[in-house]
Amino acid sequence: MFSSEWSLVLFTVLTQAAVGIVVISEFTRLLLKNSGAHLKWQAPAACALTALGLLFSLTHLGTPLHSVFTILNLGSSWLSREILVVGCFFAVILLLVLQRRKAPEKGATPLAIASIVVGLGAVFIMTRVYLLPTVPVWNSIATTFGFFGTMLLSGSVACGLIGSLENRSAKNAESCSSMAGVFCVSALVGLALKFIGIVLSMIALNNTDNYGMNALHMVADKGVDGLVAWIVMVCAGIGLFSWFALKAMGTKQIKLIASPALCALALVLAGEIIGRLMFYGTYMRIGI
Amino acid sequence: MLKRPAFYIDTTACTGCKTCMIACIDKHDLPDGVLYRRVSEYTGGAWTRLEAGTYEQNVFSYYLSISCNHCQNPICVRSCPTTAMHKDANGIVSVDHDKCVGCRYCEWGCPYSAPQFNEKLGKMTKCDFCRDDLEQGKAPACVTACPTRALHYGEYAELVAKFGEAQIIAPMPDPSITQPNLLVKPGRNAQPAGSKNGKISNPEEV
Repeated sequence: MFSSEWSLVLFTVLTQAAVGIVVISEFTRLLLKNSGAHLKWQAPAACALTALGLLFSLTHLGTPLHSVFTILNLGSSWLSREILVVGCFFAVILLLVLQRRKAPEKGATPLAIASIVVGLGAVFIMTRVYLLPTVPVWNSIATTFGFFGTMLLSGSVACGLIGSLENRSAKNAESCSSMAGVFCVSALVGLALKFIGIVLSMIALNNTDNYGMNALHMVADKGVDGLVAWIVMVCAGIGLFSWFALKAMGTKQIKLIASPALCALALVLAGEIIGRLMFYGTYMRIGI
Repeated sequence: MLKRPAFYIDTTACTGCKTCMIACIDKHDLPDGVLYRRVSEYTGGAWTRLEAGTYEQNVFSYYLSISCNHCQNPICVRSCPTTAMHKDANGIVSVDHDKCVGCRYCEWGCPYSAPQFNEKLGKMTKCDFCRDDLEQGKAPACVTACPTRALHYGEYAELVAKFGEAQIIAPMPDPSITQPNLLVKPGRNAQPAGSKNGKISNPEEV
């Protein structure tokens, strides 16, 4: 029921969180141009998370030294495309970080837009890797909703945590509260995507049988605790985060988010890791 | 050498003795848990009540000896990120160990469980149609070993001419996904493809 594919679980969750951080923070930055709100540490944090995710992905391989060959089949393999696009995402945000370090007064807007586009492309291609015609439990739009949900949930809460820390003594309270609003909306959209994904994944699970075992029955039999823990943790995390984000918007004090966002991030990441372990654990293929 | 190598299984002759599996393990010196050929036992049925109030049973069981089918459109080749998994000029789907990264993505997708991960090598391995035997004009080890002559091999078109068009029975997957070079002679108890009447009753063996 729960997979032991820790390397893939951590690779996908961390990379999707990194994309979420970049997409949400860069979008906020473009929206609140020159407002005085600081969004300086999100891109470096995403860069570190992507590097960590890529390192975890190497531990999945039987022969990691051959990983250089994994981009040779771009013509037909979604896995090849995934490796290339995640590598490109890392390169683009690394360039963004370096450029902002070199010239902090400039926004590096073209690179910021490129990092959003490549990041969203990376999450889309990651979902395609799992849409295998022989694995009906994954071959569903539920996978797409789930991955984009993870991106927004973890990205928004992580942005909130970093944003509240770096804007503790910000002068422009108005733009900081707008920033909290964007993070809060992103988190709630992420939660909605996650729930649509969970419902659709139940339909996909029910369509899958192998060795006479129905995948939904397997979840009902052995996975209820995990499913409940996943939903409760994500809801608690987003509830906590949204409550304090709204409070910060009302009082124009973004520093109020810091501690709740830390708890929310721990809850969301733990919940998402449980959910991803179940995703890999319910792998069932058609055939013989 | 063959151009489109194929296997033929006569399920009316197969007794599920697994000699083909053993011959394959022996020939390739396979480690524990690695099986290039697997004999699945598909079983089902129950007691059914008749109008007169009596009961009769409709139980069935048959065997399918399946290795790699060296498909025409192999999902393992399509999905392999390194191009290590490839179909060569002789139609044999094989792994180039100088490229294989051991990601196991081919294993996820193949509906016949053909790619098998070798922990010791850190790479995928699979049936190579006993290429060395074919080069000497000999039959693959599994075919040679079958005591009931249920397994045959040859050029796909020649097998079709001899045994008729391919038929698909449960629990085989939809052949349009990979276009396997496999012909099956169904027995009298064969269940139609997609049937939920039975289940593979020896999962621990395959």
